[in-house]
Amino acid sequence: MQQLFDIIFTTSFAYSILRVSTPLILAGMAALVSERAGVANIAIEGMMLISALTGVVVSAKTQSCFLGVSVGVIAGILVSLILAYFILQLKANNIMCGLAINAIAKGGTVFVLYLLTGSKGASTALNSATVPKIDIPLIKDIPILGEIISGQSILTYLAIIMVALMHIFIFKTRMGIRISAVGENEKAVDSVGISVAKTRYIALLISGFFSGLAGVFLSMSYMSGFTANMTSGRGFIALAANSMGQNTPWGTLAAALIFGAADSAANYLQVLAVPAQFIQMIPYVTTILGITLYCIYRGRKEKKLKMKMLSHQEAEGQSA
Amino acid sequence: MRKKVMTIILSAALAMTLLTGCGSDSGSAQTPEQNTEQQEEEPAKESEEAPAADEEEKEADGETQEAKRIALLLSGNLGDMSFLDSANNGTTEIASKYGAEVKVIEMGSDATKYETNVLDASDEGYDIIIGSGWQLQEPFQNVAQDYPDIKYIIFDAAVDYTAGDYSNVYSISYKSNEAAYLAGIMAANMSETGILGFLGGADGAVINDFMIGYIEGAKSVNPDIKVICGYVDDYSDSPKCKEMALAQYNQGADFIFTAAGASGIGTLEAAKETGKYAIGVDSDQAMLYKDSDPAQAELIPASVMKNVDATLVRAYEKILDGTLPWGEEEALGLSDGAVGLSDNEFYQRLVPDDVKTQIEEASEQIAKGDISVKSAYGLTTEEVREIINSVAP
Repeated sequence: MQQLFDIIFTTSFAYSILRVSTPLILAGMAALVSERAGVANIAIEGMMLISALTGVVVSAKTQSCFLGVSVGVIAGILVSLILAYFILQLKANNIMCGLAINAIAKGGTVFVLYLLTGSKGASTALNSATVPKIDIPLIKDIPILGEIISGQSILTYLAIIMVALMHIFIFKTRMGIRISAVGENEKAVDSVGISVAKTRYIALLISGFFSGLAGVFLSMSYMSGFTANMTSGRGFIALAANSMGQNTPWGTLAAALIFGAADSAANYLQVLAVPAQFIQMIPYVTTILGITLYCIYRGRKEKKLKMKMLSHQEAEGQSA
Repeated sequence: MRKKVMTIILSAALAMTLLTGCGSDSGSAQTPEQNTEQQEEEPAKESEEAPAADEEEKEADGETQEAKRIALLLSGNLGDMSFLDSANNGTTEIASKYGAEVKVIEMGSDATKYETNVLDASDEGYDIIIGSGWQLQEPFQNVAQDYPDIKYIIFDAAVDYTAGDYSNVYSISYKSNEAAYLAGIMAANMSETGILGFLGGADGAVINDFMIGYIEGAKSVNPDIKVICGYVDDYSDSPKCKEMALAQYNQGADFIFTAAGASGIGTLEAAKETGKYAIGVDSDQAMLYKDSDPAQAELIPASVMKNVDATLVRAYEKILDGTLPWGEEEALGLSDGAVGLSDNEFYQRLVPDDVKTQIEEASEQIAKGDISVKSAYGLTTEEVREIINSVAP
């Protein structure tokens, strides 16, 4: 037990939580904005893969980290444009389209990787750039906290800033409110003369942007290169994080951090003489627990609301 | 809302199963192509079948041998820079040295097609069918008995000879534990903290064989050595592997041996980030970085290699001599050159001379049989756990 605490209460463990959570936070934002617009975007995984490879290839060719990141993100947006065209213009089923994009991304990235490097596993032959890590002035001098928060990748800080921006965008701007409105009731939105398709297009493009950032983070910051299928389901975990976060930016951030913490714990606890299978279970058990607690919470809230309405009606009946 | 959450979870689950079912799509995309290729060639081959049968009769008569037709069935795709590429090198060498006709069939990662492919190859009248890895064990077991005239070779796995008459199947297994033992000697000698790390792809005998050899080798140098053992549980999740490797380095390990397929790249990167050493697997992984990232290659003093190519050439030469033990499993180790530590400029530069001689001595002793390295094959889960616990920090 003492050993357990020695491992959990280290700064390197806390530091790793932020790093592990970053792709989940970014992909979670991608899930959030499309979910708000009423389109479940399961293609986040595929977009991440495509952006991850694009970022590595472009940065290797140009030796510019900034170009790599930008073109990687643009690739994510372009793929989301294709997805949006199929779903919104051609009225195809969004789950089928998402699956198709994921399948194309999984095979296509390996194919392109093979053409460029002759390897089907990893882009080790390409000398690609990585996003630098930065120390935050002042905070880095605070004892423990500085070690945990400072020195992360620029993209990690960007992810957290994005969550705040997302909060403002969704709840405070006209476009954000329209996106939510389209998701809640598209007919009502349509009746007041707002284009449903256009709003969803914008939502999906934003989703592509965040997927792209998440992908680029994986291959240019987390790792310094691309490996086949390196997303390994993170795009799907982001969907779960978004549901657990009740479709709100701060909620999704919290859920992503919980998943990240569970993952980090599993990584760090391998030193303990506990069966590996038990440790590997932790992230999944956390997910199930999280969703169960969330469902109980929601159920109670709904019940309370019903009771309130009932008593209200009764009161009205009595007064009448 | 609750419905929505359920929909998402269910669709995600569905998508995951679909995706894992499909495996790598590059594979499935290529297989149909190859199937059509095979079909196109079929008419040509039918006419060849008769001479092929003649040839076998001649063989039985002990007359001069003619060039053989070999099919190499790969449970994946070429370009893995390791296991499968090595097999391909082996058959290419056989073709150029002995004039055999070789057809390589990349079967992709959809295991449901493997048996059909083995059947197709058997019907097409190849003399020898070579298959890679445990994924082909069952297909071979199901097919080989129906084609007693065709010879089958499976490497890195063995058919279950007690399950039937497999006198036409030769199995090659590798004593990876012996090469891993040498890696353990190297790591334990060079470690300053007395703590080593091991990261496997999954908790199974193939991976544990590496681990146990590594632990034994390390213990032979320093009985008090500590080894942190972990499993990534995924052969493609390199970020997770990197995270686990960083955790091991942070906990004091200064050498990590990784046997986790493509995930292992994560360990190599973690080594670079912390400036500590990593040991590669299956192929000479320092060479992956030699040109693109020399600083990374400097931290990979050696890789534990499976020389699939050498063992296939050896098997073919023995077929020509008529000394190959058909109907048996042969476990090949250091003495046969089937496994070993990679020897390159980085090994020469990074490993101190006295350690090198120590490794050479151990290598000779293993080859002579003076040292017998424990293997994970045949051990129970409890026994493996006991070994892990005996070196846990």
